[in-house]
Amino acid sequence: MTQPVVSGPTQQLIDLCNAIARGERQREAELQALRQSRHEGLSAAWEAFAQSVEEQGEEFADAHRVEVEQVEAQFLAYSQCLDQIGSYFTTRKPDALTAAAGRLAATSPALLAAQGAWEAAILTTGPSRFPIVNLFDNMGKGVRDGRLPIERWIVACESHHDFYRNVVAEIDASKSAGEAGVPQRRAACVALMSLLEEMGQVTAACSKADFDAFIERMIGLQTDLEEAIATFNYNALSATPTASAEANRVIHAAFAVRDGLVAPDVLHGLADKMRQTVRVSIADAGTASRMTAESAIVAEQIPIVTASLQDIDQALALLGQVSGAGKDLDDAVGRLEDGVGRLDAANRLISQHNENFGRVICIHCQHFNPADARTCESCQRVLPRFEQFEASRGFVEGGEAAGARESVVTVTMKELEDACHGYEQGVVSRQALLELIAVNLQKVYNVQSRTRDLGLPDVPEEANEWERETSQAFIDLGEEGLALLAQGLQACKAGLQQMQQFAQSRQLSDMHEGLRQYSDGVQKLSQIERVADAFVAALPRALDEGDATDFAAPSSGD
Amino acid sequence: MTEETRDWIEIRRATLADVPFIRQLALESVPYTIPEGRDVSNESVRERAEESLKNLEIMVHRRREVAIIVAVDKRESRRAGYLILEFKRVEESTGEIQSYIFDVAVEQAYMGRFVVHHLVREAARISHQMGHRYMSATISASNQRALLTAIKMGFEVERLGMIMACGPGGIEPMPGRPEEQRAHAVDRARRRSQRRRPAR
Repeated sequence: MTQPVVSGPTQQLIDLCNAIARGERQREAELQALRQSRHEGLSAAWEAFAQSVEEQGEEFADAHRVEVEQVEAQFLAYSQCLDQIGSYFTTRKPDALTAAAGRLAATSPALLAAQGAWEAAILTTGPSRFPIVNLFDNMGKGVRDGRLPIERWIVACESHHDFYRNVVAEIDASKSAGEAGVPQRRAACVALMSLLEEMGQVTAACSKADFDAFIERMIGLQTDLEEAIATFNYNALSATPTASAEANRVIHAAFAVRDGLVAPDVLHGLADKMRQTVRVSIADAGTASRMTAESAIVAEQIPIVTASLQDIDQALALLGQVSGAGKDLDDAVGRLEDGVGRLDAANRLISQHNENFGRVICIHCQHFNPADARTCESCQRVLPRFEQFEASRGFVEGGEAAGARESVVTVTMKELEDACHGYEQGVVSRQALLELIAVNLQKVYNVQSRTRDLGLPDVPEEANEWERETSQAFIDLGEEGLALLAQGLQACKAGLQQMQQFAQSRQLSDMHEGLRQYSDGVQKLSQIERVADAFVAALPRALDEGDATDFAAPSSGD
Repeated sequence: MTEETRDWIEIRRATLADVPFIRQLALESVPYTIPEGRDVSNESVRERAEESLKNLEIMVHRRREVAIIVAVDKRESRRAGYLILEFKRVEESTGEIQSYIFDVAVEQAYMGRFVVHHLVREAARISHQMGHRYMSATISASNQRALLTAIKMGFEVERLGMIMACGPGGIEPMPGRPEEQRAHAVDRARRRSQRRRPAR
């Protein structure tokens, strides 16, 4: 630790006080003279300081009240030390000298430091927003006017050069060296070091133009440095602790308010701004929740999304009103983090769902395959040959479709959904919608009528055990397939009838229910594929004719 | 003010070296500032005055807030008196910003020599330089000498400060000061006594 600096004359005074306190009373006259000299010096220095304060003006002095009062306090302390020395000559108590010497040893460096802080306040004040630019600009003027020794300029250049060199060394040793803004910061610091080396070579004979050129370059490099630091801070503050960059900035602002580093106004502004975004998202989530969900995943997650957004909104409302550190702030930050976490998890699930939506699900192993795949990538079984297209939001999951969470989507489903939405929006007429529904309803009726009497033959009595077992297995499959057929057709019919109801009522609930039931029916019918191989031959020709656009009998090559 | 006074009196801003003189004279003048109706002790008022003068060294240098001027006898290089002038006081009813004579005192030996006139004149000039149209002051009602001097200098009485003692019954008479604590009356009596006593 460096020793505090005591001025030369003060050190003399201290030494004399200690000497006389030890008994060297023959030096008292010397002490008197030195004390008088120091008193005059103090008075002159104090006058010069008061003059300096007046020259800077009332506004500057008020803005730097702390520095002014610190200097005044140290001048007063020094004056009191001199009075204490003077009291020795009245009381003849050596303790007064010892005490005064001790106080002087502390007061002198404190006074020098306080004066230095005041001078720094003056030098770093100027038109530029960069204190270092004002410092060198003012010092440059002082050098040119002869008020400032060139040595002070050189010392300032060297000390700032050392500062930037240390910054570069810290960056090179840091794990963040490659992050956004840091390389730019390093480059600016290196350039500043180079500039300061040049500036350290000036002499008092250098022209104003030379000094001005240095200042211009310094302004440019300080601007680069400022931008690099801002980029780094922005990214750092946006990266953690949640998945939302905007929420992270709010949280870091809250931490800064908690630690007394920024005013609450900064936090209020960020929180209010984020609330505007959140409120739009809440409105969008509300709209989505009123529409039929595309799948169970979406149906499950939209309420979670909505609730999370509302929690986030409430947390932001609290943060927009906190006045400082405390339980309210901590609670609000916790709620914000929690809300963003839940929202992020829900959005991930929805995104994952959307990525897979429209892909062909294998009814055997539920693997998601590309839309044009003929066989499953996972189990190599034949895929149902449905035509795939981009799903719209109206599709729903067939909730009973063999545990699969994603839907099989068909052309007819899309046609019906588009027609229903078009009717809702006034683009499709009721007549057109009813006609489409009627066409598909007739198809279902046709298939139902032709398959109503479908049955399976009994196992002949004369069949042997193997034949009986094989036949029974075939029969079981067949019965399952027939059951799926009946249930699927019934659901499709119910869905179409519900859509007819919608055409009359224009109630969205009727439309959603109709589309859902129809889709349920389609999902059930799609399950028949797994027994289709065994039943193709047995199915009446009418089934193919009845729903030819949805199902294609697999060719022998598939 | 006489030409003679103007020749040997110098009015200047106080420096650090003047502070001990100002502090001592201020404390000596304390009894003259205490209204005669009050029974507060001279000692306690002196302690309070000491406390208020604690930062006098700092105030000497705060020229935007205070002007401290001293009167110096040029012939003997001796300080004769001082005046402490505060700036930016707000007048209680009009709201105007004006200066205020916080304290003024003259050495006993220089009383009656128009020293205070010079001090007040300089204070008025400084007040004008600082942008003030008015300069105010407060004088104890019992300090008749100071009151007459002020009026002769050009001060006008603008307000009268009233005081009342309060007790269990409501209004009480002012307690008054014991004889040994009085300042003006003692001086007045001494002066009368000196006038009556024939010169020896």
